[in-house]
Amino acid sequence: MKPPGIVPEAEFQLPADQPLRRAVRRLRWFKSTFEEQVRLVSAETGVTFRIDRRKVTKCFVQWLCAFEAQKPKESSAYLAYVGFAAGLMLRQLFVGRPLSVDAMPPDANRDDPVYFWPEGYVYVVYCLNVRQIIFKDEFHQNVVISPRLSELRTWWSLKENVTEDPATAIGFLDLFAGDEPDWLMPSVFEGRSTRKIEARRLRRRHMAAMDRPAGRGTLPSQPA
Amino acid sequence: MDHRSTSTHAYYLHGAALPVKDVLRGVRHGLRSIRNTAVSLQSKLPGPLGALGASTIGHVDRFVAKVDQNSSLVAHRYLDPEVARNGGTAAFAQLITRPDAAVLFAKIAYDNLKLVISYICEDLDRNDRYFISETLAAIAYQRAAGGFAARTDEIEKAALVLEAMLRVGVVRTSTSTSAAHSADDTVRQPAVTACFAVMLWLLVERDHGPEDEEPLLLACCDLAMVLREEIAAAGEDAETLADLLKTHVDMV
Repeated sequence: MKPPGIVPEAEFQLPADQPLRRAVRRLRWFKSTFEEQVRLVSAETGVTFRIDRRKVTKCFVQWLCAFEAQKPKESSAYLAYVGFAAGLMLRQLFVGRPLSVDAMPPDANRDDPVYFWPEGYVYVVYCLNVRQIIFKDEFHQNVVISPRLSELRTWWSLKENVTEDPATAIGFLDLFAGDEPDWLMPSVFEGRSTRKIEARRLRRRHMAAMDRPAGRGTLPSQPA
Repeated sequence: MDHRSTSTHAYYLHGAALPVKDVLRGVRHGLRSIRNTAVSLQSKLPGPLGALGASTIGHVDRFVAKVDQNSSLVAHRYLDPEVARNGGTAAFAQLITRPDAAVLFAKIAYDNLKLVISYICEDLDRNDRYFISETLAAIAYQRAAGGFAARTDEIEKAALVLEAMLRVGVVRTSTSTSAAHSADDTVRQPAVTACFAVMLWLLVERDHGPEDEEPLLLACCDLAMVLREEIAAAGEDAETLADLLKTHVDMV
């Protein structure tokens, strides 16, 4: 059993005769890659899962509705929309909860995020991998995964926040993908870039204030 | 012999075979039911009568197995049209161009409705209550095909077939001549959902080999399950069914 701590890179099968951006909007690709991700995490961690295929399908259908509802018309916004859409998927997986744990390995270390919350871990790495594969294949960009993915306290925060408001999952995925999260209106794409720029500016100011002896910033980098 | 006479001959040969196949399936099911009833009675019989009952059931079992084997052999080796679940023949666009489309459709409907219904029910006892009539599937196709000329869109044609399947009652149960019209929601819903799933599957664009047909069919089935309330609300209205198929066919 290998302690994960990082995203197990899934080698999802790329569609042979259609662009990836089209394939990801197909149930058959979603189902097969999600099941592949579950198999990979299972093999690496020893956790066995049960997949509710109907819930997987429902997640996909609802995600696609949310995806189509906010899809931008300008091609310049596509890259940003991929990141946002991956977050929408994560939100939907947390709402639909298509996975349940069948068995944990006896020596599971609950301080490791994957054993702390195995289902949540699969949802997150799946969305990160899909995001990454599209960034690479369609935009020739690499995603640098944040070390926060291995921090247990971030996972506590994730679990607590998505239970209360699943939309915060979108911000957490940005955080794990090394991007600036939009905590203000995480499920709204319009104006997201502007809000992110503003959030980054405020965070830098906050960090600078923290560096000064008497200064205290006010803006957290993630929800409490 | 010209092409027309060959295909006409094949049509009538296969067309006549469909009721025979339905009857053979009925015989097999009837024998299995008799055997199951005998087993439940035998368990209640005292000592020597119980032993006698067990011996009788053994005879029934051998007879059922023989009939089952023979009728299945007859049905599949000699009566089936040459059709397999593959990308070449399963696509609705290709199917409707075939001269023996009604018979071909009936075979495809029978094979796949069986699979889909058992997937939906996931309970063999309950699944055993459903029968698929290949004859009625062919009749449904023929009725729908009468309206094809007025439509250019394949999805609209498929919706006509779906409507006809529901109207004629291709899926039946031991208590209902048409499961799609049963007052019992737990009987009606699997039948209607299964018919929708099979038609959706026939309409999906193929980009894979025959080995992926079953996962594709089951994906259509999962989607139909998610949409079951909308499908039920569409009833037997071909236009609404066409809208539902159009909205979701690219999603699969």
